[in-house]
Amino acid sequence: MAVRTYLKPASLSEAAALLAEHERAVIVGGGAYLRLGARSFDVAVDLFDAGLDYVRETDDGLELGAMATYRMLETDPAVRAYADGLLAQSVARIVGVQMRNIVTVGGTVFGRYAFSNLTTALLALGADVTLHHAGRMTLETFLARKPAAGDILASVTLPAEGGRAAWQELTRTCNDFAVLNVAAVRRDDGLRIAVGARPGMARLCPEAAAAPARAGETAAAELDFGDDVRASADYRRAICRVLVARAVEEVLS
Amino acid sequence: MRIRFDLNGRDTTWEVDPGETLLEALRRHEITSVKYGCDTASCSACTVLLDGDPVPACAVPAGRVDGHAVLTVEGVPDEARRLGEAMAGEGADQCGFCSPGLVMSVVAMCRTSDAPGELDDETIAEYLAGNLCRCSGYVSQARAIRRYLEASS
Amino acid sequence: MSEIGRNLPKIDGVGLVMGRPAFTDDLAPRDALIVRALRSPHAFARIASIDTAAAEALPGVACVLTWRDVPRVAITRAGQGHPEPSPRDRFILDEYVRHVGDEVAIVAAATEAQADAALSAIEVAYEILDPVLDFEAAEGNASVLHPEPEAHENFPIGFEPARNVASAYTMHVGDMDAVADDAEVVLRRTYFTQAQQHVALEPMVCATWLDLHGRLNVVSSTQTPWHVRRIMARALEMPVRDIRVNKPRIGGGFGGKQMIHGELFCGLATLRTGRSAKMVYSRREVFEASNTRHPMRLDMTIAARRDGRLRAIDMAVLSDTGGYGEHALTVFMVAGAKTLPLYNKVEAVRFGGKTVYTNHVPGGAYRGYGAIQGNFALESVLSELAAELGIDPVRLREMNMIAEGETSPIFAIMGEGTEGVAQTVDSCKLPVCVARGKELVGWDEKYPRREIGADRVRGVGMALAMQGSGIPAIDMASATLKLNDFGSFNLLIGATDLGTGSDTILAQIAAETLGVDTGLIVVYSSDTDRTPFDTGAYASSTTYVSGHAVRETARKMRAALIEAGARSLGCDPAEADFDGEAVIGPDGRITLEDLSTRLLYSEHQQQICVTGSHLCEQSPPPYMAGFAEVEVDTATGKVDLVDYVAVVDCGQAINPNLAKVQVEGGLAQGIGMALTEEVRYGKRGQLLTNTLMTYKIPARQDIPSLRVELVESHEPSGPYGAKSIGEIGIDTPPAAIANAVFNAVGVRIRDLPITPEKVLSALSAAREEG
Repeated sequence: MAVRTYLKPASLSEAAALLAEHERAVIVGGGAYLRLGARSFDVAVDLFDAGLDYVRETDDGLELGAMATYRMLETDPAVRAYADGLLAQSVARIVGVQMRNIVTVGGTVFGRYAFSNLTTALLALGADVTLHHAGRMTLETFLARKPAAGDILASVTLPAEGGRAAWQELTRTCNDFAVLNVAAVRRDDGLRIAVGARPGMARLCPEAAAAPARAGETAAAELDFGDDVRASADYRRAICRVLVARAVEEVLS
Repeated sequence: MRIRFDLNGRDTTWEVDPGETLLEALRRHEITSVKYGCDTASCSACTVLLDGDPVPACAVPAGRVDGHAVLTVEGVPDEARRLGEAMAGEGADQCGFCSPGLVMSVVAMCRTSDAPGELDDETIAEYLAGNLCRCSGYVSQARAIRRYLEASS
Repeated sequence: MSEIGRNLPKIDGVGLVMGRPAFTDDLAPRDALIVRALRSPHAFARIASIDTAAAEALPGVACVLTWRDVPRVAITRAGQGHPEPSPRDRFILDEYVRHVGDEVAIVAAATEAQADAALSAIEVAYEILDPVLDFEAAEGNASVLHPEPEAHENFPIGFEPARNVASAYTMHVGDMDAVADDAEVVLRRTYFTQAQQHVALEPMVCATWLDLHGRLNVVSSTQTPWHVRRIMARALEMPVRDIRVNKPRIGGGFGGKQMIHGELFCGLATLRTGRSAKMVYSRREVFEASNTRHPMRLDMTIAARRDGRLRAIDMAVLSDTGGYGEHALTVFMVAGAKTLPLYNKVEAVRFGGKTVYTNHVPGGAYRGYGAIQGNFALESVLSELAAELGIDPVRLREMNMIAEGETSPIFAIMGEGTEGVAQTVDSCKLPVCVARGKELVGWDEKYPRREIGADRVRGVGMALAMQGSGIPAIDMASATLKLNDFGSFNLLIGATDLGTGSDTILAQIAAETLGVDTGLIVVYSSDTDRTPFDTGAYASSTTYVSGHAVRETARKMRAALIEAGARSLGCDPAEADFDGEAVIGPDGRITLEDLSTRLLYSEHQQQICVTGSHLCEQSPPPYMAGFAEVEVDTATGKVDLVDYVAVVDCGQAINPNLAKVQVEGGLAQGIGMALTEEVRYGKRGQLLTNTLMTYKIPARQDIPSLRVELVESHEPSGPYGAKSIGEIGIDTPPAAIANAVFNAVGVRIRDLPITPEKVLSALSAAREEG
């Protein structure tokens, strides 16, 4: 990564001010893909010391700071207790503890990565996203459109009621990106099913959620799938049936 | 830019490039135990401890460590020697390229566990899942780590 | 024996684990110029014009080289003996680029950033040519990869560049077609093996500088220092004596470093600028611009009696050697030479085919070296035959496999690109390997399958393998022992330790022969100036060939010690002996410590320094039986490895721990080839799998259980009865796992890797039919 200046602001608002001040500025999230970036920037703004690496139980729900790492999601007791530890399950096999110590909730969500396990889980959990400028919105809304330049993700909030949850995925090696991932969440108000790495972005499957007995078939029909280096669309469709059915069976049992 | 941090227990000040990774900065300053193995933070050969947490140095900007503490294998010679002897006793030490990263990960695993001597093989394999090795097939490393944990407890 | 069979810790082990500077990039000169290559974005193109003026003018740039600026001498990059059995179809830089990632230009600059800036400033106009991306359509293709007149073969290997053929070969014993016509059962099946990458954790790295004498010094992460030196001398048009190549610790090789990589570029940069230079391949460059295993199509025909006795085997191979022909013929030949002799009781055997050029990453040496590809096809078709005949697959092997005291005509017919050497199998414990392996894996209880739960079935499968030990009549190794004062020895060996521990085991052999403790032997290796010759670490030659040379040398040292001791004692050498501590005569003794010190300083002074060589005269195969237990999820097709058992006959294991780990490491690589590793290209020939995120080697949890046992065996022609162990471990998993999957769920996957998608697809097809 070619940058002229590297800064570690002490707060989110300081970081936002830096973004506003410099046109070619970038937020450094986890840093996992530093070497892959060919672009150069004037200013890199690292949120590492901005006090955003927290997990907080509030009346509102469970609040995850933007710099909460995957490893924190695996080890924090409140997160592990929430919805059968769905978040921990979704990240537990990603590469290794080293990677999970630097990859962050904010870096993942803001990046809107289609391969993301965490995004699928958050979507099924009905998470909200709070941006520094644009304010709070559902994750679904956030994923649907690119955020404004200069905005920063501040936190992700999960509803107070965790409910029951199940996680399914298929990977080639144990710690690989998912060929397909599935999260199912059951709460008083019903079932939510999300499927991601299709290879497209995580999506909810409302039709499948409404017909749990045939959830697998329905999800496979209501979603679209694509080919990539990991698998073909046909295969993803085929295992969608299986993984969704398994997740729903587990979450209803 | 200037960074000031604790490196292996010593108060250290370095000039680094703003865009440099911690891996590049460490190797430039002759901390050659930290290895370059891949471009995507996939192999864990460059594992160092940042405030006690194992991280891939290739994916940490050098500037981040300002005001923090970094530990490399040079900073844990006793544990490294004992783990090295355990590995040598099993023949698990092959090319050695993944070894420093493995040592740091094992050190972190032990330091963050209440009872490292009681960790089972599955838990150890899970903790070290990110440490790729191409020479050994992993199982001799598991035997060596078991020896090390038993000798340490 | 006290040192042989001892689990001595590797002499470099603790230092490496503690991170002491030991690898090329740790040792490269601090101020070395950074060398980088501009690499082709096209699979096949001609460089129509290239302008480096802007790049050369940038700050810190010391030189920029294109094909017009470098000597034009045809070479091969293959690290093989001279003359190489690979076509000389390369130049340092050429007008043509033949795969995405092929070198276009070289820059050397003071910093990485400056080198990268220089790369960006080079202006290239390419004439894009039609790439050949399907190896089955390469021969006779209108697009010819090697039109250059200088490319040539060193001796006839079937090199036909106008037809995109890098090599061709055929052999037969008996009349295959007649036997097949006559046989009760004939099976014809086609198998495909994929390109696989070595993924040694250390990428390719080299550094060069001119020393005080103006000689070019090279430090490189290489398996073949002498071949590197010779090829550099040829390419750079300078005498061999003006180059020194030294190998420090290297972070894995597996065959990927049995080839020249950046040494030519660094060397040239140093020669042109007078400054030291280094080149560190990025992981992406290792994927795109080093080499892969040769992908192959293997057409098998097997003829047998109903009772399972084999009558004839035909293996027809098409091998994809990519843009350049390194190791093309020799890997191809090993596919047959190190598999077919396993079933030596046939009346007829035929082997042949071609290697063809395509615009893929070049094929090269990779552990197994053709044997793993051949093994997949042969051990799969045998199990298919067993299923067809209703015979237990282990029983089928036992009925037909080679036995101690037997031979195969293939040994004499097939060698390293030329004829081989006849040999009798003097050591073969296959029956024990098979029986013990069955017992360990629980074959009788588990074959063919067990239902585990809803959608989960387990199955077991197996495969036999053989390999070789060195290349007869070609591989030569040597060693020097120097006696130091106060009773220690320097062992100077050319042999190349890749992390395998060869420095250690060769010291053990020397120590055993001398009768001393291994701790008295100080090893220095792999330096073309300071150690005697060795072909390098390949063909599983180090224990068998280099070990022999060490033993020979140590014998000479014993004799020299006895002679010098006898002179000191005033007796006839014939009356004296050396017991490891002292030379003992009829009337007295003199300790090694005392004798060695007097020899340097005070009495009958001389430096005792002896050298011995060994030429490999035969290549006694190690043998093994591999057994896989897998669990298949029948709803998703995912295959998980449950257990892998390997029982290996490597002759006498010099250091059993190190031998065992060689097998374990090989198994893991073989399992990767069986299940998850795959080099994949896009439509334009670009590599889709050029990071560790997309190219998946087994990680820790993918290898839940490996159980390896070594069977005691004694090979009379080997040093202390040893054969070899470096490659054989990799050979069995693809077939054993494919067989296990078949036994579990009844689907036969014939192209690697065995992905969940292929298994599910086959299961679905079977359900539709059934």
